[in-house]
Amino acid sequence: MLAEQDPVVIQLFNEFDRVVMPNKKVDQAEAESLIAYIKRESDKGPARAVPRLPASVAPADRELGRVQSMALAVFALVSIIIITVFGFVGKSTDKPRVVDMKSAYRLRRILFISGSAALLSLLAITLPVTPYVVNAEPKAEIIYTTARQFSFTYSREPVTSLEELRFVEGLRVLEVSADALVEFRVTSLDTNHGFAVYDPNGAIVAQTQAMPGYFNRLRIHFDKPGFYAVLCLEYCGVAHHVMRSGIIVR
Amino acid sequence: MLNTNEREWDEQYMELARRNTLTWIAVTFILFPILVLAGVFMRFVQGNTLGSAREWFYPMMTLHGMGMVGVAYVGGMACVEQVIAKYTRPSDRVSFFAIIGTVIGVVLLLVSVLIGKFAAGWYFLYPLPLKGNWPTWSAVVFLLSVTVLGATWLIWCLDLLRAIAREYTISKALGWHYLAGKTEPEVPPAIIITTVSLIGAVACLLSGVIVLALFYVELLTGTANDALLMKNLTFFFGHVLVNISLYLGVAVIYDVIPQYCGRPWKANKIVAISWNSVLAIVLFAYFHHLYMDFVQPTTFHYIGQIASYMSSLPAAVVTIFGALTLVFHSKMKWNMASMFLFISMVGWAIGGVAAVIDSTIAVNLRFHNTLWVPAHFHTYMLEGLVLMILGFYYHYLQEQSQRAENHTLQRMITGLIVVGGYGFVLMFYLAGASGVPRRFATYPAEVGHGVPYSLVAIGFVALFSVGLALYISEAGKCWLKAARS
Repeated sequence: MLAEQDPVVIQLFNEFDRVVMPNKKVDQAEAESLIAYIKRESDKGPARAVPRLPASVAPADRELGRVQSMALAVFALVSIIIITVFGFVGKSTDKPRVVDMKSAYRLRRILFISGSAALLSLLAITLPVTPYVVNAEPKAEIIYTTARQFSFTYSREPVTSLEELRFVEGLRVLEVSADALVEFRVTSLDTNHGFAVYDPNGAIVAQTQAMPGYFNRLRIHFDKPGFYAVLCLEYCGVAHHVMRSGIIVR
Repeated sequence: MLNTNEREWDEQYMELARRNTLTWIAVTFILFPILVLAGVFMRFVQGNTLGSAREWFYPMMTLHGMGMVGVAYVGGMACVEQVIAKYTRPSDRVSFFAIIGTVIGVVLLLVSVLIGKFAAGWYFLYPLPLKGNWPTWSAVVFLLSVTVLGATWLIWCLDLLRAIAREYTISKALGWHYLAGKTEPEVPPAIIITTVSLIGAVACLLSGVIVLALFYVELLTGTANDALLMKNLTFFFGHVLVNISLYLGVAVIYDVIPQYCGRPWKANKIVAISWNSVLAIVLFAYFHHLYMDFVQPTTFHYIGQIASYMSSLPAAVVTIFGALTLVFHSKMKWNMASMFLFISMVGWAIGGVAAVIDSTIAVNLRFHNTLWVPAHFHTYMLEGLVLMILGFYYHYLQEQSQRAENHTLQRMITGLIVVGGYGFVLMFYLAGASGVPRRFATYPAEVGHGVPYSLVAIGFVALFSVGLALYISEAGKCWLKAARS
C-alpha cells in the first residue's frame, strides 16, 4: 500500500517514524473479523476512563541517578590513573637505564594483594545488592506485563498467548499510588524485549527482560509521584525505538 | 640443521605464509573502513540528520556489528598465525581456505543485509531472526553466512591448535610444566596465550554451531526453542568470541613489544597461572550478559559477577604490569607499530574497567543495554584490539618493506586515532550513564539528549577517520612494496 501511495498509509508511515508495519500475515477473513470487532467495540463507547499514554516529553529537570553518578566517578578516576601511569612509563623511555627487577616483582606482589583485597571488598559490598525477588515479603501489588512487537500491556492476570491477550482487561499505561511497591511479572509473546523504567528525572530505576515462555519478577518501589517512562531496552525489530509505555504515580 | 630439501620447503612455506598475511591485511584494509562508515551512518541517523535513510539503521547496525566482530577476529587470527609461524607450522592451505571461507561468508552477509534488509543484530538473538519484518530468505542467508564463517573459523582454529600441539603438546603449550615448577622446555608467551585463546574459540564456536543447528531445526520442523537456553548459548558464543579476539591481540603484544624495547619477555610460572586462570574465568564471565533475565538461577548471576571481577586481576597484574615493566626506562624504539601496541593496552585497561563496573549486578540494573555497553566494548575494541592489529600489521609490513619512516606523520596519525577514538567513546559513556539506550535508530523525547551526544561523536569520528586514512596510506605504501618483492 506504501508503493500505491495510499494517503492514509503514507500519513501513518510518517507519523510512526517511517517504520513499515510488520506483515502480520492476516488473511481476508481475519481482517474482516478484526474490523468488525473494532467497530463493535468503538460503537460501545468508553466503558470507563482509561488512562492514556502521554506524548513523549523530556524530563523537566534531568538528573543522573545515584548509582550512575558513582559508577561514572569511579570510572573517571581509574581511567585517569591508567592514563597517568602509561604516560609516565612512556615518558621514562627518554632516559633509558637498567631497572631493578626485584623491586618490580615486589611492587607486583603488592599490587596483586591490594588489587585482590579491593576486588573482594567490592564484591562483598555489591553482591548483596541485587534486584532478584527471593521471597514474597513485603507484600506487593502484582502487575502482569506483556510485551510484544511493539507495545506493553499491563493486566491483573497473566497472559501467555495472543488469544489470552484478547480476553484480559489490559492497559497501555499503568496508574499506581505513590509509595506503592509493585511487582511486575514480565513476559513476551514474540521476541525478547526489555522493560526499563525511568524515574521522573530521566534516570533508569530498574529493568528486566521480557522473554517468551518466562515471567521475570521485578519489584519497584515508586517513592515519588510523577510520570515514569517505560522503554524497551532489548532490540526487538525495526520499530524497537518507538516501543514505549509509562507508569503514572499519583 | 635443515637439509637442502627441508630448507627449500621452509622457504616456500614462509613465502606462502607471507602471501596469506598480506592478503589478510588487504582484506582488513578494505573491510574495516567500510564498516566504520556503516557505524558513522548510525550516529548520523541517531543525530536526526539522515531522516529519509533511517529505515537502513538496523540493517546497517547488523552489518556493522557482525562485520566488525568478524574483522577483529580474523585480524587477530592473521596476526597470531604470522607470529607463531616463527615457532611452529600452521597449514598454509588451511589459512588460504580460511580466506576463501571468510570472503564467502561476507558475501552472504552482504546479500542478506543489503538485499534482504535483514536486521536482527549481530548476535541474532533468538527468536528475532524468525520474527522480523524482513523476508524469511534473508534470515536463512544470514544464518548460512554465520554457518560458513563459524565452520571456517573452527577449522582454522583446530589447525593452529594441531600445529602448536605437534611442536609443544597442548599441556606444554598451556605452560602446565611451569605450574609443576619446571622451566624447560621454554615456551614463548605468545604460544601460551594463543593456545588459551584457541581453546576458548573452539568452545565458543561449538556453542555457535549448536545455536545455528537449533535455528535450522525450528525452521525445518516448526518446533519452538527455549528462549533462555538460546540466550545462554548465544551469549556464551558472542562473549567468548569477542574476548578471545582481544587475547589474540595480547599474544601479539607479548611477542612484538620486546623487539622494540630490547628486553626479553619470557614465560614463567606467573604467566602460566595467569593465562590458565583467564581460560577458566572467560568461560564463566558470560553470565553477566543475563543478569536481567531474573529467571536464570541466581547462583549463575553471582558467578558472572565474581568471574568478571576476577578476570581483571591476571590482565592488570601480570600482562599490563609486565608490559609496563618491560617498557619502563627501556631504549624503546618508537614508531607507529610500537606506539599503537603500547597505547592499545590503555584501551584494553580502560574498556576493561568500564566492563567490570557494568558487570556489577546493582550497576547493570541501570546500565544494561544503555550506550554504556557499546562505550566499553568500543574502548577495548577500537582503542585496544584494532590498535593491536593495526600496530602488528604496520610492524610486519615495515619489516617486509624496510621503507623510510616519517616519525612526525606517525605521531600525528597516532594522535588523531587516539583523540578521535576516545572522544567518540566518551560520548557513549556520558550518554549511557544518563540512560540513553543502545540500538535506538532515533530517540524519543525521554532520551532525546542522546541526539547531541551523537552529533559530537560524529566530529570525533571525523578525526579518527582522517587518522585511519593516513595510516592506511602509510601502511598501504609498505604493503605495495612488500607485495612486489
